[in-house]
Amino acid sequence: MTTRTPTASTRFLTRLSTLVLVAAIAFGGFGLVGAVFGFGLSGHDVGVHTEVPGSRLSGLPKGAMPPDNVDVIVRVRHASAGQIRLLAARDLAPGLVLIAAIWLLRGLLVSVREGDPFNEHNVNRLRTLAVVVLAGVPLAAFVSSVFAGELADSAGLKGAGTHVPFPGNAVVGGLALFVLAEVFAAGVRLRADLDGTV
Amino acid sequence: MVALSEYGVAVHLDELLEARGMTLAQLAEEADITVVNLSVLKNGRAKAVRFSTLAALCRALDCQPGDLLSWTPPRK
Repeated sequence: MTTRTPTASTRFLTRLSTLVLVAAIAFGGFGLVGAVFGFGLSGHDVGVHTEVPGSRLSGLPKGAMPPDNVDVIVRVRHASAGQIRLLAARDLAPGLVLIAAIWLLRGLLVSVREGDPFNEHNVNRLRTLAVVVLAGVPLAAFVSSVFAGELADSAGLKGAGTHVPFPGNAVVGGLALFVLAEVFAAGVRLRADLDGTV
Repeated sequence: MVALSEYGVAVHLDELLEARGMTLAQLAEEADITVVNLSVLKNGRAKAVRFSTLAALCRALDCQPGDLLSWTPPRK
């Protein structure tokens, strides 16, 4: 094993990932505690995502074609405890995916900082990260969309609907991570051969 | 006792050193190979040997590669 002084960017990224991880866990914990006791991150105000028909837009320039639906956020003041719980539930799944992804990335960065990134642990980390991106991101988007729909319904915004766009970015990102994991696995095998060469 | 590698290859360093009255440290200095690498070879933990290493050992021990290495079919 060769141990070299980590580069400044490696040290910076490791610290940044630690900071983001701690912040994500803190916000997630605060959100969960708030959901139990009936207060959100912004007090009792809740931003509800919903859609309105494009035909209701006014003041567009002459000749402009509005889309079928437009995403809007409706601010609900003095939200009920149930609505705040729905808000927490909406943000829980994407939050968990974010924490898992940063946790795995931080593990990779720590191994780079320690000068030994080509090992089996990192192959498993990259494969897990690929699954998180490929399956976790669309699943979290779907779960979040279901709770967002419930929240919109609870605010009287009927017809908000549940829709999850095709997760093209997650598919490409997840496949790229799987490829990277296999490249790492080949690197680990080459390194084992090199270590046994006299 | 000669240690066999996982591929059934044995390195007869001990016998050659004894026959020539040399120590591992002397061989390391003579062949310009680290004692750690010689130990890896001697204990059957090597997976590959470079031609340069083989040539340096043959020069230092005044022997042929066949004197250094032998192969025994691994037991199933």
